[in-house]
Amino acid sequence: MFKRTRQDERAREWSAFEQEAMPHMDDLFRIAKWLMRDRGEAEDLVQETFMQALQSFHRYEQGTNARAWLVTIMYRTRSKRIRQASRLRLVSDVDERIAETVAFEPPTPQGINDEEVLRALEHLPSQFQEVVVLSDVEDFTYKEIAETMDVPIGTVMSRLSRGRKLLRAELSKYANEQGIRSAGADK
Amino acid sequence: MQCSDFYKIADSYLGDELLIETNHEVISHLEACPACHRELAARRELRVQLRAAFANSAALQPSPAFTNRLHMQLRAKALHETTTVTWGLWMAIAASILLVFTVGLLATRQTTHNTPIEIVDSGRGNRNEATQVTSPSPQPNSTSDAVNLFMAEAAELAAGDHRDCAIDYKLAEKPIPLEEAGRRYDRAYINLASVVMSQQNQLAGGVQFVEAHSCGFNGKRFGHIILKEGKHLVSVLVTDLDDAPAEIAAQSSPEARQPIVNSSVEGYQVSYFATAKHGIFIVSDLEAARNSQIASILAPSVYEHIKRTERLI
Repeated sequence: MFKRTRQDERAREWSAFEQEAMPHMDDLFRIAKWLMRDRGEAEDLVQETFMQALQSFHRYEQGTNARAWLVTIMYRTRSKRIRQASRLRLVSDVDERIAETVAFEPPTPQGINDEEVLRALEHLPSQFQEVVVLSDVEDFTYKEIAETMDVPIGTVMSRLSRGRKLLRAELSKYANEQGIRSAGADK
Repeated sequence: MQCSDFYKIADSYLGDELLIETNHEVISHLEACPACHRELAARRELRVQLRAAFANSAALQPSPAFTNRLHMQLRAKALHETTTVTWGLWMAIAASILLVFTVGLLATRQTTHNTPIEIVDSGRGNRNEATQVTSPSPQPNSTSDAVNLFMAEAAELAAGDHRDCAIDYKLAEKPIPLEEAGRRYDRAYINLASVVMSQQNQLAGGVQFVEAHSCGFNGKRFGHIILKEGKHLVSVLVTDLDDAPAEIAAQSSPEARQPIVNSSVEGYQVSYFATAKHGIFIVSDLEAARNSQIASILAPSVYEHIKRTERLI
């Protein structure tokens, strides 16, 4: 009797998890693959993330942003792995200074293909890449990014602003080399 | 609002992070300022390009095999009973299994008087080759007990491998291709997947092949075929019995076949049988009857295949 009740409870929990969390697996993989670069490592990270999410699903507040909750777990899992591997990389002041030097807003080139956009993004310092991806690709709010990355909202805003500037500078550089027209350029 | 003010909050405007009043100010400014309007369009365009790049890049998409496997692993983990079993409880379980087997063997010997023992599949009313027990030569009880205990321990390892490999995918050592393991470790692994899958029609129930490899768990190497039935993963695990006590191997004739034994380990159903030198384990979280049925269907062909390889050794 008790066993049957427990099984029913487990089935209900799984059904809720399947409904709330599973639809975000592809999104999480894309972020993981971007962060880890390696497919195998990305799969490991996504797997560990979902396993942990399943274990702590009772803490998830139904109706809130499940994707942000999962991405937060993924970032923490990744941070833990980096710490365990003693590869902790602090935010580089040099990177921050480089971003500061991008004083103007270069126009956004058109006619650039997807691979070129991703290549340009790869040239950004990682802390800028991550904020840009979470904001512009995943549509996270500043607050969600701050919680996910465990940084103040002000840091999110400044990194996002600098990251976008750097990205436009990269794209603009590429467009100039290829002779591609830019959107947003004064005509 | 000045253009410089707009530049400072343009990102927040795009991200819908501004207060309603500030939003109104931005909109008013944009209506009056073509340059800022173009700048906003450029920032929007950047977001569109980025999203499209992420959505379209094949390199950033998960493989269907990965998402499928993870889905099944999660489901198995979610629905599986994960009660921690203490060592003391294991000892009690082992003792119970031992007692049941001993009593069972004594009872069958008393009623059959050396006639061949057959276990009939009562569900179909047909003789089930897989569960047939050839007439065992009279053996000291201590040997039977030792065999049973040894196989029960091997079944625990098989269940552990199913959990860590098929379900949690967290083995310390990376699995290797089955055929390679067949060449390096155990000939029984060669063609094992084909032999198992040759019974796909008989298994019915929509049983599908997931993968085949060789993996290790707690120092024990297995040939591992992973199947799935609906959302359940089923492991067919084959391992050598080289580390069995010498008296067990010595008394196991090549033609001797153990009955299919059904047990439950950590909530998994484990059905197992043995050849002279190998143990074959079917592990899943299916109902006990279905797990046993799968074992019964696979047993004849797997048994014959492994027996053939043992003759070659």
